[in-house]
Amino acid sequence: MKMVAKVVNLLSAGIDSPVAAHLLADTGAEVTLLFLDIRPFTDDNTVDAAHELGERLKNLYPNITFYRCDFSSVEKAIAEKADRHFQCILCRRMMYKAAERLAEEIGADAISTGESLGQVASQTLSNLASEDTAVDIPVHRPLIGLDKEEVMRIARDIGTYEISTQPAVCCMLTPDGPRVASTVKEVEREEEKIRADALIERLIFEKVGG
Amino acid sequence: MYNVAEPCSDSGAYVAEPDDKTKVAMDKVQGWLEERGYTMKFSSEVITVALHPKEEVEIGFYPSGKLLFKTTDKEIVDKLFSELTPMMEEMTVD
Repeated sequence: MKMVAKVVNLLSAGIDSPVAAHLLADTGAEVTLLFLDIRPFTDDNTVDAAHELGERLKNLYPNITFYRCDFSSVEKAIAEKADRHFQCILCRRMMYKAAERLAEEIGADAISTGESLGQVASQTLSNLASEDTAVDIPVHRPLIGLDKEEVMRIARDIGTYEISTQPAVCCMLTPDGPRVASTVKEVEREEEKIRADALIERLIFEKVGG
Repeated sequence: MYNVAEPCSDSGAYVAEPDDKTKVAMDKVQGWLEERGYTMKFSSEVITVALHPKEEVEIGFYPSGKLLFKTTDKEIVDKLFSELTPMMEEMTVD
């Protein structure tokens, strides 16, 4: 009988997602980190920081595994074909779908993210609800009720804060006016434009390290 | 007219934006860059990312006139700012 929850945690180079991974791993969950590489819409420093974060978390929890995936084809399709106001929500949904696909491949039970309410413009209740409908697998958000100060305190405690706050290029695709409220129907229409399912199907996940 | 280039929120790049609301003809910007030997990393109506032919710096060009320099070297940013902002002003459409 399976006793341990297996979770794919979306890892960025930011402060939040490593803390989410830590909180899950600390409960005994078997965490797989997934880093989605969106270059050229970010820089090499971001990729290096994500790898460093992966190493740090693996040092804390030796059963953590780490995958990376070239996600640029998805980001390029969004930039070329989607309504720019939906770029953030669409990007998040596509990241969820990628995590779900990896979860299916490795037999994970859920996916998780470092999102919490209202930290950035796109993290509203309606957008989070729209994101959830992108996938069939359960989505966990260990930080949902924490404020930024608390998240930063935990990040310092586990030694990821210094890595996450190194200079790096933020996502270059963020539009001037992202949608803070979106309906599932609107977002699904955008996914049809970019042929979302085919893009996700073609992603290749590479395991990093042992 | 442009404001000076300032570090972006994550401190890994510099951003320059025009004072007034602007719309830039992205196809013309792309043509200008190609003629001058920039390596195009990505082009669309919402963003063009191109590598400067000499400075090995990638730059993001936006229809709002925004420029994003993917470097923390202020000296290079100032040089590229002087080189590119007049072009962006020229490419402005009504």
